[in-house]
Amino acid sequence: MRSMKSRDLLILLLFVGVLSLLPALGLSRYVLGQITLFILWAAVVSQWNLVFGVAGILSIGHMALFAVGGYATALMGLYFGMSLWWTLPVAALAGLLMSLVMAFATFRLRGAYVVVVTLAIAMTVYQLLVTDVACFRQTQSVCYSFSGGARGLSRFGDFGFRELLGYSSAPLGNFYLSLIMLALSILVAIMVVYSPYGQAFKAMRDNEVCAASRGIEIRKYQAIVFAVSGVFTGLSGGVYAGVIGTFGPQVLELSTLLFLLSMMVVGGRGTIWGPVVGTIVLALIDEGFRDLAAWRNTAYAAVLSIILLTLPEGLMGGFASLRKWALSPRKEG
Amino acid sequence: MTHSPQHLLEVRGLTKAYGAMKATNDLSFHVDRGEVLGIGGPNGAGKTTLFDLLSGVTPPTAGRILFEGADITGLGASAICHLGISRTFQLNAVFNSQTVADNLKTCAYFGSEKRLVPGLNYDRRSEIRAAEVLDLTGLTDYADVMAGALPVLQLKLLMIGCAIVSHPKLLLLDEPVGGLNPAEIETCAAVFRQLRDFHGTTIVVIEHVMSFMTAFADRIMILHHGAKLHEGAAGSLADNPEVVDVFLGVSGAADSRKGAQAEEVGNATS
Repeated sequence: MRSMKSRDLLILLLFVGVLSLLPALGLSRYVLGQITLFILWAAVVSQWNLVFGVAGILSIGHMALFAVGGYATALMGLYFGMSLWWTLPVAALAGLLMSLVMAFATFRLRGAYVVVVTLAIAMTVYQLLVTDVACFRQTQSVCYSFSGGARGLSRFGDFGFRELLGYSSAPLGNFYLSLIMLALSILVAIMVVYSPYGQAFKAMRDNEVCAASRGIEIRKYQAIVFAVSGVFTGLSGGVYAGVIGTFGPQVLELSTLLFLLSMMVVGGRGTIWGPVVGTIVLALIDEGFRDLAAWRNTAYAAVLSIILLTLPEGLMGGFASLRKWALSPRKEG
Repeated sequence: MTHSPQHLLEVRGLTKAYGAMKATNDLSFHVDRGEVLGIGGPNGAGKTTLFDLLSGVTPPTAGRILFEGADITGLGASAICHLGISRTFQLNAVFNSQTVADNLKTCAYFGSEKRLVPGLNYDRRSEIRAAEVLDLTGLTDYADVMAGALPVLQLKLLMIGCAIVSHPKLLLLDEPVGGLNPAEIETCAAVFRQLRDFHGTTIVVIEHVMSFMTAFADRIMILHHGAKLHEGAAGSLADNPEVVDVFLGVSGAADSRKGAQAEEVGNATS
């Protein structure tokens, strides 16, 4: 187990090293922006995977944790004019609190019921946002609601890369900040999965009654896995808000949810690298169908269906089976 | 009624009702330190329900459970495990996506004591205990195999290993040798004898293989409709006509006599 942890840490180092060289290729502003965006999605999916894949708690309301983090950053930037750097701890805290709401709501539920309740929580947050139309601040003739309503929030500040690096290099700052977020997210996932915590999460997923009889306090570890995931998902939300510059209820829409869920399922849930591989695949599809926007969702669905039918454990699961098959001694004759 | 110090476990008037059906019905018995108590009975007699109650998987409707003189009625499964009662399951209950070694480390780490704030690595003691149990159960060659890919005998041994790696004072075995052939039964029995003779573990075992049970158990209790039908020394079982009638049958009675006379489990089952 220790050697596998070292292996994954080494892969992480190489992966981050290669990504950090990408801007040297002289990518266009658009491409760098897309890569930055997908790096942040990978960070989110890696943390979601801890709850969904590793602990086997079928929470699909995960974007609510991301949303509260993003809104925490955006609102504080907008109303208090705070540097967005200082809002990030608050974004993490918001994610933590929201994740504990999820944990307590699902303590007594299993399987499909968890899916329903977590989705309901995320949809409640969405509805609260889009129905927020009461006038909170007035600029000339336009009236803005507190949360920005269906339009979302914008012009709440940024991480100051423009002043620091100049207008043309500002995207680089956003890129490297996102990359640090992804590295942190995967590092946390590796540390958790190979620790006794990760083993307890997997034990709960594999056989809950047996796990309890072996001394694992189920609810405590359910709360812990939600809390860890909540902190880093909330933080990703804050980073996303500052990097993209706008934040709205779109992140809670069903299409976003399905897009991120596809990343996890296609890559392989419950594995360290599945979310990353899935994100790369979905990013390629996304780019490939850029000019055929009408077919984009169809393409996601097709890939998801094909993967579910042929490799139920995702690409990483398929890769593991392939390696096992290749390494296993074959019978002679 | 006062608690006797040599009773490790004492059960008083234990009842579990599902509606009008009483799966366990006003059951009282005790288990002495260091003894092996066998529990038998026809299907649906409430044997596994009894284990579920003792191990905290389900709460009883009425009655008390005393362990080392302390009332543990209504405690949860993990708390009861930390007190030193460990059980196995009839179905193969291991953590399929972990290796054999990781299964044992997980069970040793979380089973031996309540971990308020677990560390980021297993402690030395859990690793030593896991290695000891790999050795005791003969699973050393399988240490890096995923539990989900184990053959049936190794799976049973791993399940037993996971239950004993936390060094329980009381071990509850639910049909540990069901479905195994005589040679495999002997492999498991060797592990149980080690536990009893060298680790001083007290064992309660549910089993349908009567020759195994009468050879291994000091005392036997037969349940029927959730209540006690018979309790006594292993040899006395076939002499109770009621037990022969509802549970053993004539050939079973012969098996049970053979087991009681055999000196070792292996002689009885082969």
